[in-house]
Amino acid sequence: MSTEDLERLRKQQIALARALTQPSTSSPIQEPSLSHLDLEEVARSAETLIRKRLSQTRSALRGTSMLLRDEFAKEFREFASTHFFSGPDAIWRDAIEFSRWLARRRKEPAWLSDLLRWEHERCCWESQRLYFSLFRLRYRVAEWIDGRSDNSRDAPPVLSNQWIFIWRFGHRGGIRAIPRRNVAKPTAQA
Amino acid sequence: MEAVVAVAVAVAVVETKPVPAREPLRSLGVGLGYRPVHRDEIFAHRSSIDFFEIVADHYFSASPPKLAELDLLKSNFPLIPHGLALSIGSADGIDQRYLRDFQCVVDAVRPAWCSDHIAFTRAGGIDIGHLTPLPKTSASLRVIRDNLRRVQDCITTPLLLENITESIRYPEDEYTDAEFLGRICDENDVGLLLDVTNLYINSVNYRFDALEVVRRLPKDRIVQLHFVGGRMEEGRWVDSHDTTTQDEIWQLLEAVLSLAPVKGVILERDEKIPPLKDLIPELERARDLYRHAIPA
Ligand SMILES: [Fe+2]
Repeated sequence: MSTEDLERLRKQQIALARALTQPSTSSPIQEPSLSHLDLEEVARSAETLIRKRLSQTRSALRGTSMLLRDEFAKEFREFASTHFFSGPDAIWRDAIEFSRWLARRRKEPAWLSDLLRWEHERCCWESQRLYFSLFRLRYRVAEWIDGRSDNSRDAPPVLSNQWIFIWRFGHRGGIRAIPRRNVAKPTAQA
Repeated sequence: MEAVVAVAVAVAVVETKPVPAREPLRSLGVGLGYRPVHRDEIFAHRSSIDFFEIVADHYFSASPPKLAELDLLKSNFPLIPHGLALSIGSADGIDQRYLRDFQCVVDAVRPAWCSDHIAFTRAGGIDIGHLTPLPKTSASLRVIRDNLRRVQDCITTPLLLENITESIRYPEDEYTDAEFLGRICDENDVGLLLDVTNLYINSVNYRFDALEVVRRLPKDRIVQLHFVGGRMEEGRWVDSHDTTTQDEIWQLLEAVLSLAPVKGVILERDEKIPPLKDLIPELERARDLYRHAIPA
């Protein structure tokens, strides 16, 4: 087993990740590291992933899903063929972006737009809540105070370029925002 | 606000007590994968559930009520954290952020062991969101070994790895299923979480003898089992986790229990989840098998 074998495995994993998550733009046939696989299996796995995303998005947008029924799945499949989100909030990003995408396509009836707007807001709130998780804060507070870690992924996206957020575990608790320029530059993690 | 901080601090001050790797693991019995929909029913069926397996990832972004729920579970049941995205087979290495979150849950729960899967979920910055199988090659073994070293540097609690349902098989495989699983366990001093349903599904879809795989595994590495019903879709078995356990899977479960000194068995129902009382007969049947099993 050589370094080339490891590099080959790494490239194969990246190609497979692309083929599974972006099947409309990344075909396994054209990818040398995947062309020897059973392409039916790859396609079936990509389909499983879409179904999983559909089921999660149905749960996040329950009202819209109940109203549109089969249409919801049809629309989501079209959306999913060109959109994929990575990371811990991928489920919410799917729901947020799909509700926005659907609202642009379906202007009628008016109550559907209202429902989509409401569900969109609720998903945005759930997504933002991820950034204030207590478990994450436990480890990161000390790092932020020392300026050892960049917390931009923990802060709300809109504000993270400007501010660092500190949760204070004092007897009164509370969140404090301090300007990023006042914090020492983050260094690479070991 | 005071309450929120109190919960946060209560979780934060739990200290890690390293579990010596060689200490024999205690038997936990037969339990259930915890699903929040059962929260209000678990105390009414307390005597039927020896322990819970919790999805560690669900507590990474925990709100105060979710942390309180964890506290409630921890005070009343042994808990086993089960991760979904450690991505132990990722050639890009382990995501340090995920590892720290996972460690945080393990520290808070102080379990007998913790677990994740033999798979990769992340590559080239893409979170696939699904357990993706690895080729059974020495390159995969090397990646797993390097990643496990990083995990074991952080988490001293014994770790189990679970076999997954394989949706893709690689022509370049160098090892059989049993050899690959056995090598992962023996070379890295980790236990096996043998998902009996996944093994059964793979054996039917790829036409091999599931029991023969079990016979060839290092038995003392099989620490925990998963079981649940699957279903046939378009001529293939899929791990739908949405139905009662089929007879063939019960038979395999019984055979595994007679061969290996298993410490815990979990019913892993994820979809079309019925009321808890409807799952009790399956738990009781598994408990009966577990109690009467005498490993050869
Ligand atoms: Fe499982």
